[in-house]
Amino acid sequence: MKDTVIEDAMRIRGVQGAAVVGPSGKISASSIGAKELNEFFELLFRVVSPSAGNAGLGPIKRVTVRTDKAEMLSLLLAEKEALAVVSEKSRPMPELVADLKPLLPGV
Amino acid sequence: MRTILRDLESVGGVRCGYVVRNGEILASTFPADKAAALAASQEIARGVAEGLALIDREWEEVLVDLGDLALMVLPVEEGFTLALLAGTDTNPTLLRVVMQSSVRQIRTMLSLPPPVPTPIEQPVAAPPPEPPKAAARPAPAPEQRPQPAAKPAAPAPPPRPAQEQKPAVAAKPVPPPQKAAPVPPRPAVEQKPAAAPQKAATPPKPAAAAPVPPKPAEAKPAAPAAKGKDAEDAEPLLPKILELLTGSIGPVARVTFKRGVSRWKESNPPTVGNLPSLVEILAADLSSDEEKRWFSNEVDRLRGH
Repeated sequence: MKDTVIEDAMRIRGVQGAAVVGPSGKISASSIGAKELNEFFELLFRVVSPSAGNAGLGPIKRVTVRTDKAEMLSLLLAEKEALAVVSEKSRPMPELVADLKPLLPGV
Repeated sequence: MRTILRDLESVGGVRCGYVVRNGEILASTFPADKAAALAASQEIARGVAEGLALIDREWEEVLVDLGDLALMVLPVEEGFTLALLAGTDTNPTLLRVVMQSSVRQIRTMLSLPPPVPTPIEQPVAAPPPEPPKAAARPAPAPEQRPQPAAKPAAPAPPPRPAQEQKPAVAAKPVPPPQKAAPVPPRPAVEQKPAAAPQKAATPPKPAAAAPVPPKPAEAKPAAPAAKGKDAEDAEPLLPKILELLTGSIGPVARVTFKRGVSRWKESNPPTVGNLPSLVEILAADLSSDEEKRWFSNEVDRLRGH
């Protein structure tokens, strides 16, 4: 993923934080201040990565979780990495995804 | 339970679904060749729930984009989920609305206690921006982000189209206090941010639990003409009410309407005078107070009030 991906993601309306999850499953860069959210994305990456035995579902492109807080947590998978995004619930997801997709390689 | 799934399948694009409680499949319309998909989706939902529990959050919905299919999972309660597999052409907002309605139906069916609504808090995602750990350059200050033009406060609440039509919230900051505005006692429902200040300031509908200043005359005296009408059969008005609901939430209205009317008839004689109870049931599927108010007013008009 490009070095500027986080900066680019942060420019998108509704995005509150972004992080890159590397092939190892660890966050390699992040603008998400809350440590626990970074850890959650690492865990989510492990849960949805092809090696986690989700073959039955086919390749997963994105997982979005609406939480009980005013936020949505999304993980967009691209090749062996993923872009983690914390966004406002008020931003419609299809719009947000359309804005984020160009930032992902091979998508 | 299977009927609920069948009802959900009448929503365009929905392929199949399941209800799982503590690992036991209570109902499923997944074809046999999708058993692996069912198991995998359960794993994901479980992983998400466990991960969120660690960070002191609960989940309202998980959406897994699989390219040409999407899996939407909603919690009924801990370890108890409803999931649907749908084409990506399915409107996720509509799907959410009908699934939320089904979750409520399941809860009622199993006499589960209503979940305690969690007050929405401000996001904690991006406190003081921490410098990126690695290569990424520092993120721009929020002020530099493109801000959409603030929309003037919406006037009368028109029926909204079936598309996702959330209030055009200015990017940041989100107005905080209004969110704590009295929310109708409707569990497990997404609480959208207050669209306009006046919305939050409006008093709750009579059904709301908020204390109402004591008014001596509780039941407002109906107009004499309306009184007689109240005893009439409401059946002729139902298609018009369905029409109103369809105008607001789209084609999925026929599913929620059918269910709502059944529930209404179970506990009310189907008279014009009892239509407010039906409105209350159906309004649970409308996403904003503004829409609820609009819907209630329109039905009142049909009743001749």
